[in-house]
Amino acid sequence: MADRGIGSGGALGWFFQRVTGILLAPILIIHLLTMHRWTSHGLPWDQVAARLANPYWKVLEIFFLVFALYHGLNGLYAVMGDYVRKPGWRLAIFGAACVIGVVLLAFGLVTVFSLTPERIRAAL
Amino acid sequence: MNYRWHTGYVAWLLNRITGIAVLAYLIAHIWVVHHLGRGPRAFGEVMRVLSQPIFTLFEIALIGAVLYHTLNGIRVVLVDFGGSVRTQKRTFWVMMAIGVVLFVIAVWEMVGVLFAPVHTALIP
Repeated sequence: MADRGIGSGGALGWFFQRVTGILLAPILIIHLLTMHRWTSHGLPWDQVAARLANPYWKVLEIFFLVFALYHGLNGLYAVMGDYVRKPGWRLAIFGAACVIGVVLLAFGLVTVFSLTPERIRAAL
Repeated sequence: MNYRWHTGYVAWLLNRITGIAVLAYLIAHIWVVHHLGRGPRAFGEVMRVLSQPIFTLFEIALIGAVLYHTLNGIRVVLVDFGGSVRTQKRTFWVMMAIGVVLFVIAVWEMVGVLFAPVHTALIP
């Protein structure tokens, strides 16, 4: 393990993978119940949007977004790191994972923040 | 016993495969959910497509991957932080038994939803 530079993963990456994994399990259960199970079949916009307009569910979904993206991309980086050995390529994959993560986070945050009680009242 | 295909190796390999599959779903899910921000009509159109039974098959595979990844992940965390190395093979099979029970319950719920009336009020 010569590569200990940026994006090498290391003990901190290992530790946060476990922390986010532990946190994701209960968040996923709440997400599945509130956004999928306790809504009508076909997920009507008014029901899902109303949930996301609620500040408590909004905060939960933002945490879900951040932890899931981190856990998924960090995991993918770890898997790729087992097959890609050249430091240059590792850095490139690390950079790509960061960019994809930031773009998807921004995409998700725009969605979550666009849903407000005023917006839902106006749409219905 | 085969030294390559032992329980620990298969568990580790499946964790990677299910992890990558769930990450792919996460990216697709963020894209689908962004239609919420585009209003009831845009979201309704996407949901009408995704309410077809073929997607329930994908969702059943997804819940299987998520259950495996979560329960195997709990085993990994237990080994890493609790140090139950000697009993981890047994822990793995206990987790898989819990997984099978939860999978059956989840599939029961999802197939039941298939026969529930689709909420059509806001679907154009």
